[in-house]
This record gives sequence, C-alpha cells and structure tokens, in this order.
Amino acid sequence: MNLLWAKLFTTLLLVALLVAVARSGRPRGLAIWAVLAGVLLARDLGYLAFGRELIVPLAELVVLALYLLWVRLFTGLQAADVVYLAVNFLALIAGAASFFLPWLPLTPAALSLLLLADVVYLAILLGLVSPYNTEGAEILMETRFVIIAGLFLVQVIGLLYGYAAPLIHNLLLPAAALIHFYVLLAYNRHLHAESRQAVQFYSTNLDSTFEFMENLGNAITAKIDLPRVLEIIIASAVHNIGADAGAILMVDEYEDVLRVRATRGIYPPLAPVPALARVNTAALKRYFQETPIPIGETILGEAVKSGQALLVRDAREDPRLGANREDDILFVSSLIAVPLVVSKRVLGVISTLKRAENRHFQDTDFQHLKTFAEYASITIDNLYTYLEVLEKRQMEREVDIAAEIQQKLLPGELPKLVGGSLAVHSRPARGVSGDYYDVLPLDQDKVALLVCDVAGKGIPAAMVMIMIRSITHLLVSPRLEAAATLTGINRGITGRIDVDHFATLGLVIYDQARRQAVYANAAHLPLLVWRASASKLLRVDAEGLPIGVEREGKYGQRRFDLERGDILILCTDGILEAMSPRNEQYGLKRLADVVQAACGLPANGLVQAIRADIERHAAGARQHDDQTLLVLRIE
Amino acid sequence: MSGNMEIKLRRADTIYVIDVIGEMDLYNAFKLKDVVRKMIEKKIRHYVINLDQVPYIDSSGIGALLQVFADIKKNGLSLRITGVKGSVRKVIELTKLAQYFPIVAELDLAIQQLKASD
Repeated sequence: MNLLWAKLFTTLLLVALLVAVARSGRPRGLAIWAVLAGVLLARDLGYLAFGRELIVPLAELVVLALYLLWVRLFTGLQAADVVYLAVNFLALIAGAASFFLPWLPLTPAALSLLLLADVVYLAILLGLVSPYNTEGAEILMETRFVIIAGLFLVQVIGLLYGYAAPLIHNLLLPAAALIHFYVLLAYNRHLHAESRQAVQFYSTNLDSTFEFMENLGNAITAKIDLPRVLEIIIASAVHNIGADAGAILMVDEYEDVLRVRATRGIYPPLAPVPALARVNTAALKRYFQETPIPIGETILGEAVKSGQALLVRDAREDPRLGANREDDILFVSSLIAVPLVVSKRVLGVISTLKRAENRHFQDTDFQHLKTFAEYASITIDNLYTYLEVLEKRQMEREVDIAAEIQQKLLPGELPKLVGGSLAVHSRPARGVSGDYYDVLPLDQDKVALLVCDVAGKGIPAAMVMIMIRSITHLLVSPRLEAAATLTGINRGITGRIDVDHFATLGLVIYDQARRQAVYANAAHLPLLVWRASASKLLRVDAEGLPIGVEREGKYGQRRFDLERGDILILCTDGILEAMSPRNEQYGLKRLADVVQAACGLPANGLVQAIRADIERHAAGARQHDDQTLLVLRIE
Repeated sequence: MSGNMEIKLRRADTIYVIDVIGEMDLYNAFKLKDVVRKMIEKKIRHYVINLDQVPYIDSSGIGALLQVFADIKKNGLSLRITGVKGSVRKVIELTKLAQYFPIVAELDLAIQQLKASD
C-alpha cells in the first residue's frame, strides 16, 4: 500500500495544479496536461490492481507522446511525428495485449529502449527550436533542459533497474512527476507574462498612436504640407519602435516607381550602390533620395507590388539584403516594411531599420508599425484629396478675380456709326469669360471690330487679355492694315506670355465711306457675312496661327465690298457650339435661318433674335463655353 | 466638363510615350505640362504624346499641347503627337494648328520616325 501513496499524492497534486491553472484562464494545450494527469492516475491505480511492472513503461509511452503533442502545439505537427506516434501506439497495444497473451516477448526493458529513443527524438525537436522559427519559443527554450534531462534519467534508471523496485516506486516515479510540475508551472507563468505583455503592448500602441495623431494634427492645422506630414510620420514611427532609421517612399503619380519622400536617420539603399555614393553618409543619403526604385525591385519594391507587410528579423537570413551585410556604411541588421494601402490601392511603403549588429525587431515592433502605417495611409490619402479640392477652389477663386478685371476691359458703350448699326451679346459660362471683344473707331470712316478668345481662365488668362487689349489699342491706326495689325499684336505678345494662354483673334476693319471691309484672322472662327442680295450667309476666312504661338507668324487678310443690308457677324465657339439638353450643337445652319428671318432688323434687334433662338435651343442646358456675338449691319 | 484625366508613361528605348487618358480641360491640362517639364529635366529626348484616348479637348488643353511643344523645341528635343481624331482633331483644325503640331497618324510610325532621328 505504501507503494501507492507517494505516487498518488504527487499525481493528485498535479491535478490540483491543473485545476488552478484552468481557473486562471484556459491556456492552449490544457487538455494534454489533463490527459497526462489521467494517465498517471490510471498507472497508479492499474499497478495497485494488477501489480504488473509493464504498466509503468506503458504509461510513460503515453506521457512522452503527450509531450510531443505539447511541443507540436508551438511548431506544428510534422511527418516524422506520425511514425513516432504510431510506434508508441503499437507498442502500447502490444503491451496491453501481452497481459492476456503471456507468450508475447514484450519486456519492460524493451519498452525502456523505445522510451529512450522517444526522448532522443524529443531532444532533437527541442534543440531545433529558436525564436526565428517558432512562435512562443521562449517557454520551450526555458524548460527543454529539464524535460530532456529528467525524462532521460527516468528511462535510463528504468532500463537499468526495472520499474518494480520499491525505491523506484517511492522515489523515482514521484520525483519524475516533478518534471511535469515544473513544466506546467513555467508554462502557466509564461502565459501570464504574455497576457500582461499584450495589455502593455496595446496600451503603448495606443499611447504612441495618440501621440502620433496629435503631432500629425498639429502639422495639418498649421499648414497643409505633405512633405512635413510625411516627415512627422516617419520620425514618430522610428521613435516609437526604437528603430535606427526609417523611410517613406511613395508611388510616383505617372511612372511605376517608388520615390523617397521622407527619411529619418541614415537609411541606406537596399541594393548594391555605386562606389561614388559610398564615400560618406551624405553622398549615400543623396543617392538613396534621388534614385527611384522600380516597383517589384528590391525588398521595398516587392512589398509595394505584393501589398504585404514584411518583417526581416535577421538580415543575415534574407538574401535580398546581401548587399547590406558586406559594407559597413550599408549595414542593416533587421528590417520592417509595411505598404501604405487605402482601399486596396498601394500609395507607398513605410520602412524602418535596425543597424546595430545583433539588434533585431520583434513581433511587437512589427505590429506597432502596421498600426502606424494604417493610420498614416488614411491620413495621406485624405491629404491628397484635400489638396486636390484646395487646388480647385484656388483656381475658382482666381477665376472670380479675373472675371472682375475682365469686366473692366470690355467697352462700356459701343460707338455710334454713320454707315451702320452695332450690337453685342456676351455671356460668360460659369461666371467668367475668356472672351474679349472691342470696337475701336480709327478715324471718321474706319472702325475696328475684334473678338478674341484667350485659352485658359483665371488671372493668367486675364493678364493676357489685358496685354492684347493694350497692344491693340496702341497699334491700331487708320493706316495699318488688318493683317499688319495682327502681325504686330502677335509680335508683341509671343514670348511674353506662356504659350498655353494663346489667343485666337478675329479683326475686321470697316471703312464706312467706301463700304469696304477687311478681315484678318489669328485662328479665330471665320467671319460670317450675310449677303442681302443673295440671301446667304457666307464664311470669310484668312490665314494665320493663334496669337502667342509663333513670333514670326504670318497673317493673311480678305478684303470685300459691302452693300446696304449686309451683316457682319463675329462670334466665338460658344455660339455655334451652344449645347441643347440632348447634346446637339447650335450650328451654322440654324444661325443662318435666324439671320434670314431677322435680317431686316437693325443690329440690336438681330442680336436679340439670335440670342433668343440660342436660348430656345439650349433650353436651360448648362453651357460650358463663353458666348460672344458682335454684329454690324450696314445701313 | 472637368472629368478625370490620367497620364501614363510608357517607354520604348529612348522614346517615351505619354498616353493621355480622359478629357483635357482647364482643370487638368496642367498635368501634361508638369509631366513633360519633369521629363525634360531628366534629359529625356524623344516624346510621343498619344491622344488616342482623349474624347474632348478645350482651349486650355490645346494651350497645354502648345506649351509642351514649345518647351520641347526650346530644348532641342523632339516630339510627335498621335491619336488625333474626332472632336480633338476638329478643335486642332479650328485653331489652325493641324500643320503647326508635329502630328503623325500612327503611334508606331511616330516611334519609327523618332528612332530614325537618333
């Protein structure tokens, strides 16, 4: 009976410990330990009932199999384990069978040999465990010596002395249970430490994220400055995860490359570097900042291409960082790269490095940077959108200012003519016009009519308009032909304006005494001439490039006689291209019809008629171009 | 009219093809100017602007093309414009720039011409 007490006592203690562990939170693999305690209990009761020595090594077989399963909780089951488990299982069956079939040659010593082999296998497994290949390796590394040494000792003694001796039962087996106590206690302690760490991790993560958001908030309210925001992001990231260097690279707007947008510390290129750039850290920094990385190339390009975050704990184990192991100035010991992703679109990548030998990033650092990157991505994306809106708003404000300037450029009242009537209609699209028109009496007989359309809008376009107006006012004279006037305007403007604010300009000089007109055209619409005698609307055009394109541009002109009732119409595209709700253009044909119908009216009436007709056509549809119409009717 | 316009770059040896995708108007014409300015800074010598996927262009778009052409000429570099059709062709013709711009009917032909000029 006394053979039972010591063992049973330790087994019951183990059960008590298990219950305590289970109550403090159910760790992974608790069931394994429960089975283990059950096996020990069954062993002791079985021994009490049958008194067979074989029971002890059979129970040990199960215990070792359970240890294997526990280790494999961390590393995952492998093919060789199946052999191990199968052999143990067969031995167990054979052992149980030998109770009833005494002729089976299964001795406790034979089982001890198998148990020793088991321990050796377990030793190899545990020996291979390292933080690089196993999650939660610490507990295995801490306890592996005791597990292996303890279990080995038990099996060796069992082999040498058998399991039946009272000393074994009273001392060795209860002592062996201490191994299980020790491992279970250590495991429990680790689980507690882990959960404490997790709590701490979340609270520091939260703190640093808040700090980061606060910094970022300040940067944004001061002035929207994307480079500054990126600098704050990388500085906070490097600081918070204790990195030595960091960089943010953004995907180029047009090309499939990454460009360095912000760095902190000395972040070397992650690829071979020309000797010239390795002279000193300043040269290296410059080289890194100025060399775009094709997406898909180097570890950063790959992270962007795949959209996957990556942790290279030890740079020695990643061949992609080969170049960073050989050269001191390029040295990298550990790397994290996290793509900046917003709704599946990769904006860029944030990366941090450790550069001191044998200092490596941990999983917690990796998690930290991922949290950071997520917040940073959303912030950057919002900033992009905001900047776009801002730019557009800025443009619209400029356009409003320009509209005011431009209103002052247009003639307040048209001059009265002896030989004709004049009228104008000008209507800007969306509040601003790129159109400019003018009527300039040159002498008693001659009058100049012009319509001009400047490309673009806003202040620059208004400036060009002012320049064209000033030069035109200076230049026009009764002695200067229309074509020569355009040549002069073009010379004055070209080279002084950005060519993207080119202008088209149609110029008519009408001589009331001779009833003769000359049309010169800088790529504006043809002049429309209503011939009263033929009841036809004709188009009169002349050669020439837009104003502001070619300094030496040549301009042609067309001269023609007019009769009473003839009508000259100068207009901009906005008239002929006025859109109906069904997206039909107003067109020359319809204009001709309305002119025919209203050709008896003086200029003013005609303009009203055309205007009303365009309005009927548009039927409230939004117009996207300015409409200007200048009409001269010969009386 | 301010639809989204995108610019994509392709490369054939020393020649860069600039694909303009979408409507070119007041609000986005600057993008083309920016891209080409940056490319000139990087000493790229041959440019093809492909307007094949531009359904609409306004005078600001034409202005951008003029500006880009002027910048390229000023630096002694070469440009071809391809994919000019439909309403884009109409606007270029109206502004009498069809002869002024180095327009080539086919993209392949434009690339060949630029290669030959090397």
